[in-house]
Amino acid sequence: MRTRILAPLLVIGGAIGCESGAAEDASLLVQAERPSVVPAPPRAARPAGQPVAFPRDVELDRRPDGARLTGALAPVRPNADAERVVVLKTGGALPSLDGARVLDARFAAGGVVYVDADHVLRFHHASGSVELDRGAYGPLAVAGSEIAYVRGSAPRLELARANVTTRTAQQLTTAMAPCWSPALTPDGASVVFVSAVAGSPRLYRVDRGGTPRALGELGRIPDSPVGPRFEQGLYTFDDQLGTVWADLDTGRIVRTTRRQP
Amino acid sequence: MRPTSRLLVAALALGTLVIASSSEAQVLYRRPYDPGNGITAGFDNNGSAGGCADYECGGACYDGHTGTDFGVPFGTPVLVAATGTVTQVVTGCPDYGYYCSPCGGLCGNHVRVRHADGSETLYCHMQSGGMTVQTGQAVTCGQTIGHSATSGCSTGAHLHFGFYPSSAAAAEDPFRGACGGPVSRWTSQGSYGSIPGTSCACVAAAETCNGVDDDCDSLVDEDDVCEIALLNEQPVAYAPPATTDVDGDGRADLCARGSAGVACWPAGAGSWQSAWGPIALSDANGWDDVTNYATLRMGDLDGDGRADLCARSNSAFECTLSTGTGFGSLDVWRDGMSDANGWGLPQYYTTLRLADVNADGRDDLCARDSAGFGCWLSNGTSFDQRVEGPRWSDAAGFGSAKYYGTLRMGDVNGDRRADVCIRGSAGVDCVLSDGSGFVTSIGGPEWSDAAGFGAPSYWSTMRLADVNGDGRDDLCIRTSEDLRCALSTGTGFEETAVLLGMLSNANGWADVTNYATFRTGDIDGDGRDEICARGDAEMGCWSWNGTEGVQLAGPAWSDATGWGAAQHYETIRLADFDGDGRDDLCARAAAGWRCHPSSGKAFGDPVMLDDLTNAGGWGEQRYWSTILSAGPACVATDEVCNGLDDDCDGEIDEGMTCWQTADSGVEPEDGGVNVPQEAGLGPESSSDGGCGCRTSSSRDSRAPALPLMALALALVLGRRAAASRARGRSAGAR
Repeated sequence: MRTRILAPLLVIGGAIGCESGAAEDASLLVQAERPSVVPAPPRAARPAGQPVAFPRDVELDRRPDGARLTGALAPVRPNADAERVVVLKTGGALPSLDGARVLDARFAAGGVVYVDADHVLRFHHASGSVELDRGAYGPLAVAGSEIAYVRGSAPRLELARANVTTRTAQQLTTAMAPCWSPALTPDGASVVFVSAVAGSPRLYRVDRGGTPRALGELGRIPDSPVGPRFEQGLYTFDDQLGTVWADLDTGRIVRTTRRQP
Repeated sequence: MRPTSRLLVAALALGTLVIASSSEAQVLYRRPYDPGNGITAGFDNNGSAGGCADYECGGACYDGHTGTDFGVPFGTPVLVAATGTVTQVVTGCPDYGYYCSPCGGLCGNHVRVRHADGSETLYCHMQSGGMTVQTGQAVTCGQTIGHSATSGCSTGAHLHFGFYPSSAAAAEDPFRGACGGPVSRWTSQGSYGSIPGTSCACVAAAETCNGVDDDCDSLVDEDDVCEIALLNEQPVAYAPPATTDVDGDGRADLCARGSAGVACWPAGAGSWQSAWGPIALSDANGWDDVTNYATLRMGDLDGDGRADLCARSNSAFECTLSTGTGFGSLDVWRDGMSDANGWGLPQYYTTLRLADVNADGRDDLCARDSAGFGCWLSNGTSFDQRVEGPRWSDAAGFGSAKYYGTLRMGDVNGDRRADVCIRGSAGVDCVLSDGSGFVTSIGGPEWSDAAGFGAPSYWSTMRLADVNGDGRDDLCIRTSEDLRCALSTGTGFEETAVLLGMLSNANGWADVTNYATFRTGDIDGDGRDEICARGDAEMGCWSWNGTEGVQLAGPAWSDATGWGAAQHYETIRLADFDGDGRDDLCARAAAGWRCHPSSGKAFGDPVMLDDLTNAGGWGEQRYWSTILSAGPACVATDEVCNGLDDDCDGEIDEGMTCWQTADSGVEPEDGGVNVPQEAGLGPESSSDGGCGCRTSSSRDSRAPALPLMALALALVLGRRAAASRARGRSAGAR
């Protein structure tokens, strides 16, 4: 006998106040400082059955005041495809979130926005927590109170954005799956993302209220669990080879660094 | 049928039941690669709950996994699982992905294929440069579509195989299992922990109840194979013996068929005695055939108060009589019930019953054949005289398990003769026995197919039991919302009384490990039958007090301790093994047989029998499904003045027998017309007799007897209940 219990739709905590100045949150600025801490990819030669363990914490975000979002990666099955679940540590910024199992987390609008292990997108603030969307996947992109992410059921993931102040969420694309790695422009008006709807990955840009348009080929695309971001006006992302800085207006790669093996 | 507004409402409410079709044509899949590499992570079937459950509820998976990961080496050809059309090809992700790269929507380089039945399969984490197909291309089962890698979100080379019933549907587990899908989507699933087969074609085999299209006709578990399997597991649910008291000592004994034949263990005072037998219904003699061992029946064939034993061989219905210390020879009591005559078919052999249809104290043989139902009366040495019953024929549709599987016998009108009921497509029909035939149909509740009662989780729970203690068996059944009973009036059935609302589907009782355990018996000796069943954590018994079910907790026979296995839960029996007038709770555990004596308010520590153990081989269905323990039945003798229902007619010292006995000095025959003397002027009473019996020879004694009469009345009332219960048993099987 299995008693079926439907999971209720819960909004944890109280409502979030619309704080003045939330849109000017400094979290936008810290994106440039977001480190690229990526565990080395496990290779096929790993002995069967040996757990894939990650000995050190990963850093998910850092604020100018030094506050950090970090977490421990739990060991996972080898030769499988479990998602990267991080046991969150907020360093005292939001102790009630410590220990949460998240897929990604970022500082945003005086709080923390995160995707939990069940793909629920939440915004956590000192006075409570609110659910923004379900079926969400990281990595998250943040610009003030604007959040960009992908949603759906992998690999059928479409681009979406949410606003932690208005507590609204909106899907921006349809029939463009698979989409991944969104990045918000610093003003939050546009999202640059990857879609392989045509069979191979390509960068697209969608402006607020607009329709997606393909960007010029860079020859490299973001594929890291750390999301792309804008640094000093340049579109910056990580891939298997290293970090790339690109000028999307010219469609050229400006600078690269090689990733250490 | 007697439609009532309340019944109609109940039927309409049940009309909302949705019965899943088990016969939808489905595309089956082969393993999507050739090497023998195993599964590294299975589908998570527990939804949003924490942890994971693979298709057999094990932990070979991870939380939230929406596919099956096969640990194939890098570069292994990936083969399409069934013929179809490629709907999407994604390349461009690095062959070695990060943990956890979002490339390709976590899936890396991947291919999606749509099949003829609308289902889709997904192949993830492949090589970017190894793809051999493109979108829109037709592919045939086993064709190479690409090569394995570890692109996207991956912790090493493997192939993620996803199954989607339709393009818009969420992923499901293609494996059938307790926690997996209801049917397997593989051409050959293999045992738990193994990998599916590589054959594209279905290999035809006999259809069995396994969620697979064994005979390759695109139908799954058709032809009642699951219903028949359930019937073969639980003959006691539809053909319970009235008694297994083989030595006639008033205690329910235990009988069962092992590999060497049938043995019986007489119940003693707080223990079990040495086994009788075996009766040579052995495996070596061919009795391991379900068409034979599932027909083991017990009853009192010669009216001597001792339970006898019968079963159908391949040629006849054979019985052996108890001698009180053992069994006599196994003889043919009814010829012609042979395989050659069709009696090896479940629609006939599962309907065999022993029940006393003419109230002569001897159990008769009844069964349904292709033309309908009928009985042969016992003469003490054979079943000879035919008694015709209702024409519940195959031609009328009663050859379907959801109908013949509901054939029940019991005393519906309280006349000591076993009557018969069955559920048809429109509802239940009950026909009364007059001793020489079944002629009076009194209808029954409208438990129809249209109302959803055609599902095994409902029809198989139909029972005849006297839940209100009026001497008439009532009809009970489980619905999606409760377990309910329709009370017999003797000429029909009253409105359905809802007994147990907690036994609903919403509370999980649609699980066969629970609904297959419904048993009825008089746990507290009050003349009313209780209903017992096993929940996931423990047994429970419920007594109806007229408005609600009052629960009596039973032993903790939980899933966690192994009682979710049929070899245990199907052996649950209610039987008065200690002869105290209250049915006790018994079952077979791995360590053997055990009976928890009922005190009426609780069940005591078990009395164990160190036999019927798993170690002794009793974990096999051909053995455990034959376990019989019931009764004891009332043994009819002449009614005398003793406060007991000696003649098993439900009345105690009826007709004020005792007064006339005192006057005449002669014991009148039961039911004689006796005129009481003036009230308050009765003769002396015997406290032993429990009534106003005069044991003194002094006819002139006029001593005030009111106090004694009051005591006697109390004893009579107390024993009337037990007698009523015994009468119900004597009337035949339920």
